[in-house]
Amino acid sequence: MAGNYISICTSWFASCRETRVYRMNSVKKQSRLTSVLVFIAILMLATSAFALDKNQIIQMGKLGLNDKAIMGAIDSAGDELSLTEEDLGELRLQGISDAVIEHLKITGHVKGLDTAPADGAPADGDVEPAPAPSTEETEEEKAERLAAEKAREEEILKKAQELNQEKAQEDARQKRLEQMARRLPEAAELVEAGDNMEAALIYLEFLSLQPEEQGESWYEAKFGLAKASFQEGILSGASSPLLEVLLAGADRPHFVEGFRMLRKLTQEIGYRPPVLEELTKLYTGDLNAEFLAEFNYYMGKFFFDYNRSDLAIEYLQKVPNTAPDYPEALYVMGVAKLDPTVNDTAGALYNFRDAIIAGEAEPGGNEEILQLGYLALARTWYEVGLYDVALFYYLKVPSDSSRNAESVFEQAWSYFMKNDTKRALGILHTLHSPLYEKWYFPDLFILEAATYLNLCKFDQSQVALGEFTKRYLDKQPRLSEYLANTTEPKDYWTYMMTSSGKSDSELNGPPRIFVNAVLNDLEFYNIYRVVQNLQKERAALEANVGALGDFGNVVLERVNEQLETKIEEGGILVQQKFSDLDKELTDWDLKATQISFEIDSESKRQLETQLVNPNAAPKKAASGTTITVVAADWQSWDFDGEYWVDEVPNYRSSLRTECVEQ
Amino acid sequence: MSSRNFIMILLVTAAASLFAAPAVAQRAPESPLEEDLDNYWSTERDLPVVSGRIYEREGRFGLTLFSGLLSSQPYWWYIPVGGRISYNITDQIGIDVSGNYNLEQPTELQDFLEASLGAGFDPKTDLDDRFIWRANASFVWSPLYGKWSFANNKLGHFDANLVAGLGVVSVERPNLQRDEATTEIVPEGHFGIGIAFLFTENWSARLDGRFYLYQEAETESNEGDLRLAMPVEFQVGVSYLF
Repeated sequence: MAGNYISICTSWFASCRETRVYRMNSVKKQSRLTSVLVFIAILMLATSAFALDKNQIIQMGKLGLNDKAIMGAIDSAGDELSLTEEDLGELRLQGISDAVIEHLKITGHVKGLDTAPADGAPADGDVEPAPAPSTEETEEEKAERLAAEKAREEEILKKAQELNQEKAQEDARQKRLEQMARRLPEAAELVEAGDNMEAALIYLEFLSLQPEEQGESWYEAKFGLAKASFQEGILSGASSPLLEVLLAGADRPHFVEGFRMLRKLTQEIGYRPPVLEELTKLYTGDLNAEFLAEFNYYMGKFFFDYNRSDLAIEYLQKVPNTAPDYPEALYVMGVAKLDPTVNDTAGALYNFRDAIIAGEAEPGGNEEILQLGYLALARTWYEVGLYDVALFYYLKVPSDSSRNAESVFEQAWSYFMKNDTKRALGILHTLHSPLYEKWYFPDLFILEAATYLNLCKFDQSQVALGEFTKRYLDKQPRLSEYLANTTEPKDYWTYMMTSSGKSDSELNGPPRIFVNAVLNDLEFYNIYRVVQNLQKERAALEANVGALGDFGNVVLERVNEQLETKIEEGGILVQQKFSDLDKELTDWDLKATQISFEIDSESKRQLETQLVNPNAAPKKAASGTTITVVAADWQSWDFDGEYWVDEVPNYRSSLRTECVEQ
Repeated sequence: MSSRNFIMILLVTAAASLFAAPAVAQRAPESPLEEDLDNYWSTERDLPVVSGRIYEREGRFGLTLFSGLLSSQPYWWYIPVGGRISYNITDQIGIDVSGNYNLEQPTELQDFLEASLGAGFDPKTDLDDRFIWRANASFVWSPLYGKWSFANNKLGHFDANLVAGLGVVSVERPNLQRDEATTEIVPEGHFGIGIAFLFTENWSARLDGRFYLYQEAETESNEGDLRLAMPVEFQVGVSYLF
């Protein structure tokens, strides 16, 4: 018996593994699995031989066990199962198959039949009779045995019922799956008509029936669900099925449409998980050139965002000049070439130039790329040390651009670096205008104080330092205090969300100037956008959660988790940014103190020089100049306190040095 | 600023915003926070043409004394003398109330008629309405603000305004039969344009034109008809803002 059990058990494991494979490929194999499981269950229960009679065989037949299972039970029953010819007749009448009856005969469970000895085993007649039990079974033992047998039989019966029920359910599932598969075209029409949630319900029900993965229906349902969610604004809900659709292959029918949805998801909620790199392993050669341009740009930008500049350049280079993304591709490629691992400054400059040319060629002009391109060229030339060239490009950034403030600020540095104090001070004056008051430029005043110091304009230098103290240093204690008393990232986030539109006196934390510095941080802005989109998504989900059932609850839970994580992340970022500002301001304070000392010592030295030599001539200014073309229609007049938007970029200082030759 | 890393950070930051910026450019701000963010992240931002305006009017009252000339009527010309009190709700929008008394002088046409008709001519009954005084309330919109120069020297600032309002005019009016005249108060509307030259924070000079619209006196031949007259007045004044 033990040998038989082991043999069957091994066969079960094989079947089990095989069955797992079948599950992957075809659910139609389920019924076969059920039979095997029934059989195994019976055997598992029959850990030792037990008595089996014809009634139990009949019962197993009525329960729907297949022949294999019944034969297994017969084999497990051992020699105690002994039937007569009449019993066989009854079994036949009760529907037991011939195969089972034949099995009973072969295995020697039928009395009065001549069975051939198996594999050299001695014939019945040759076998020594089994030794008689040494002692008679007592009544108590018999009762115990019968009770055990009864319990076992009941257990078999229960298990068989359960498995039978599972089989029935599986049949029902299969039937339902087929029904739902027939409704998929209807769902696709609903998506096209904008009835997204109704369609999503059909797709969800179909997918809950566990259709064959990667099968046509599964693919259609996944794509339909992604599209319905996407159209409904449930972007997080769309992301998972969309990813499965894309990874299913570029040769599948919805790859192109799905990819365009992915681009939108990346744009809206910054969705670009690392697994998207797998897309580069798909064969896309059969797709049209227009799509390939989009694909290559997306992957190039994807690798750029993950700091893999080489790969980024490789993909961006494949974007043809006819593609709408061509200017952007050139620009990103230029930035990638400035990566120290690539270090191709000349190539970067060409890319920026070409990006601008391509941006200008677009109908209406690609203003975004033009501004970015000019700034990139200016910054690169500044880095090279050609300040005039840098200034030429800085001046190309329009004054109504949000990037203009950075451009003007960097112009000030360019003029300062080339020692053109007139223009440097003019630009600093520009930056003091209300048009730039929302920008955080503490070093502006330090730069101004240093410039005045170089001209021996000590009073003005002190005024600049005083302004620095008033606008920044005096506000620092509130920042430091807030940082010391606030530990929860969520509080930082809430503070940022509620501080707009309030004056410093209405705020109970860092003053506006520090809030503005955080608002100007791209990372903060990106998190803010994602949070906004997640909140919109949550609202859309909450409106439909009843209809979406489990899927809705799962996605809602996921969105809530993401929202919480993002707010936490945003709060940490704000805290970090505030902390950086606090430290940075302390550094600038140190520099301001140094300038203040220099003002004192230099003014004393100048005074001494004048006392020694009252006729000493002012030192000739060793200043640089900047070539400017003044048109005939230009008009110049003194600054009278008003900042006119057309005048702001064109201020000049008329100050001369007051330093005395030593 | 001079470090290469700094430049790289700026450029990479700009590149990273490539996906974000178009979305910003397209949407309208929905909250103060959105407005603040637009300041930093939109491709174009709305800039006020003038910031730190020297001559601010918002929330201020003004007192104006003026005189002028109303010479569009056939039988009299007038020298209006009056005053105006104004309140500026914003730098561009305001309201005012004004009143003036009209010092009348006969025109050459009246002199001619008088000379021709002799003792039988009575200007009170034989001619049209004679203005005595008028009082008005106006809505003022000053969309233009600028500075001007003469021979490349900046002389000052100005603003120009459009005016519309309602009021009353007191007239000496002949009756239908033209046998006697009475003093009546008649409603009128008006509109006009003006320019103020701003010299200091408080003082300015004003040039204004007013077009009045009112129902003039009826005669037996046009009884019941709508006969609108539109006298035109030119004013010169001095204003003090407080």
